[in-house]
Amino acid sequence: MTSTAIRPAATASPVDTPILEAHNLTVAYREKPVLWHVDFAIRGPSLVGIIGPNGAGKSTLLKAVLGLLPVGSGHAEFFGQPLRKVRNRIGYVPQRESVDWDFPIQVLDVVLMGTYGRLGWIRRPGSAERELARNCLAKMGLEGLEHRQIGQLSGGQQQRVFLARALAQRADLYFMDEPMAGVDAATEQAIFRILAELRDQGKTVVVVHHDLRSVPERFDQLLLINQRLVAHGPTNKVFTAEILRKTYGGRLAILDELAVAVKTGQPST
Amino acid sequence: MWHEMWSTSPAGSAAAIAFWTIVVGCLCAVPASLLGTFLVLRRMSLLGDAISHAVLPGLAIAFLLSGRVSGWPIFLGAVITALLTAFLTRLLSSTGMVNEQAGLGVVFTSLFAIGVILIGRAAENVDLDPGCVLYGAIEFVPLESVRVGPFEWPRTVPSLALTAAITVAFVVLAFKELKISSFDPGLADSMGLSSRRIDFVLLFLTSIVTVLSFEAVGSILVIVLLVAPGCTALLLTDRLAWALFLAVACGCATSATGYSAALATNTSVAGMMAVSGGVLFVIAWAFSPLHGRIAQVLRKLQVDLRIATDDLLAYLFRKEELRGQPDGVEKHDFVRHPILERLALRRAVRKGWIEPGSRNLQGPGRLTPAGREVARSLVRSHRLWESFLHRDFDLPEDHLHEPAELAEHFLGPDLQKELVRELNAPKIDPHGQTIPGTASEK
Repeated sequence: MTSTAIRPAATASPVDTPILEAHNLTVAYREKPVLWHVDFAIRGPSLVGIIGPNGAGKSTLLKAVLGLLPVGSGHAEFFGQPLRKVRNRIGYVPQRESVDWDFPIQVLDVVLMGTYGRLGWIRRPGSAERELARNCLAKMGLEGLEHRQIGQLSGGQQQRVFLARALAQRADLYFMDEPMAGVDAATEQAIFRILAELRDQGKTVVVVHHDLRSVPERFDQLLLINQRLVAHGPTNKVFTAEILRKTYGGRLAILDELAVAVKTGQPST
Repeated sequence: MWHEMWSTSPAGSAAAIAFWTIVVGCLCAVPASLLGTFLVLRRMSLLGDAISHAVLPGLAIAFLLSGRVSGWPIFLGAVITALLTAFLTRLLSSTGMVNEQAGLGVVFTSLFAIGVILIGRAAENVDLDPGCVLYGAIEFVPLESVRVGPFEWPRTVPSLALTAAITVAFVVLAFKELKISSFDPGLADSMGLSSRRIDFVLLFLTSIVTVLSFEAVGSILVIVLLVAPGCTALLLTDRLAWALFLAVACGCATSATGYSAALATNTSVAGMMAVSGGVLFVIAWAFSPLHGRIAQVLRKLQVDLRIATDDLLAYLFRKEELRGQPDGVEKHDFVRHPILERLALRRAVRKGWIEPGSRNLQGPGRLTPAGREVARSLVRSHRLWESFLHRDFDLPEDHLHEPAELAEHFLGPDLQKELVRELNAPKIDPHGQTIPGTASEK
């Protein structure tokens, strides 16, 4: 892959401007903080995994950064600018369960929503947007399903519709909330292939991920979170048994323990 | 007649009264069904109900301040309390102590109670007929007229028409925004298409429509117009734009049929309109080709019939296999529902899969060559699936038949091929029986 040759050229902004920077971010639900002083900067086109136990605040971090949740203190910057100036360069894939799949809407219409941000208020998608949406559907292998009502699709297909919609956003920075939840192995591979392709085109993809076993070969860097930032760095540096145990607070399941031991090459303690 | 309707006072003739009553009904129905469809989709359909109750203190205070029972002050008071309802509900649910539905319940009942007390204490001499509040007085709407331009209109028509026009314009212009913020508010917000702003407009228009229609058609009917047409339309289509068209059509039909039914039975017009809204919903629930109950039952019967036919063919195929020669259908072959089996037999004969002799279960009805191919494929699917279960699920032999009996009806040629590849082209199933080849390789 020629990715190393492409990457520096594709970053238009100066190399030292982080693509995403969180400054001392604290988020509270009903007075109770769920994220404490999260502080990090992501540079360079990268595939970033956010991992941590249930209730660690992974989704909360995404939503807070995107301004979908009130932030107690701190702030986030994108390409060195505040969110409102760069919204059109940011794509978002919410959790699949967050929408009503019985909604009267067809597959192509959902993908078209990816173009709404660039269109802005009132302006409608035209033939150019339709063409783009069709291409994105084809890219996710969903040709022929354009006019299906979305509830008729399988879980994996629904997730791919969301991915196609994200592609239609043509963003430079993507946030995806558990895009691999409830998908089969083949779909997961297909999705990761697309994400790697986006990275190779100079984009950055931040993914909330659950399956520890597939972490090392998938992500370039990791944010390990448990109500605070436990570690951030290149996967080969931070995906260690020690840091994982710190993140999961000894709650690592036996299978995960073993998987980590196999991946890191060290026997479990 | 048209000339007469437009030139004389609206109360001029029975035909004019009928015309204007239906027009007023439709003018309420159009905006209410459009907004209501979105409220139903956003699971906010209780809002209309809440608003129509919560406006009472607004009406009372406006009356106390202005001393009149109608006109702009009353309207303003009602709209302000309606918005206050929504605002207080938000405030309450944002504390995180109660959810939005419960918050709404608390707010609107409290406001309604305050309204009742205010009216009871300070406006004892006002004629507030509970009947009027519940059912409105749509029959009398044409009797009061105002002059706008060259024509005389029933008093409520101009303001209702204006509201309807504004609502239609809003839905048409902001269709894209309404769609995304109803379906995926998180994405809408992340794009800067604030779903809260859309929420606010939706709420504002719902308040105005509720208050205006409340005066014209009463609080029960306005809830029917907000909820029923949207629910009915959503049973009929899977496309949002169509759902909106159908909701409007359904709302107008509610108004027209309700009026006719009321005339025929000499009962309350608003009450009859509400009944007809319910009747239309029940009709759609039963007969909708898409989500209707009858269509669902028919679709299930169709599948059952196909499965019964499949079973019949596969049975005959196995019998041939066992005896080494073609054999016909016998009466004791029928083990399942007799009517379904008979229908299946008839279907198999019609399709040319079984020789016609078997139609009345007299004489041997054997598999035709075409029928044998269908049966071969079914048995092939069945035994391939058993092999797959045996290998990949490690099930004992006596657990294989039942799941395969279900799966065989849904395994097409492509999945057969995949199974063959996965299992390295097996020749014999776990029970030691030959897996029949495809038509080309037999």
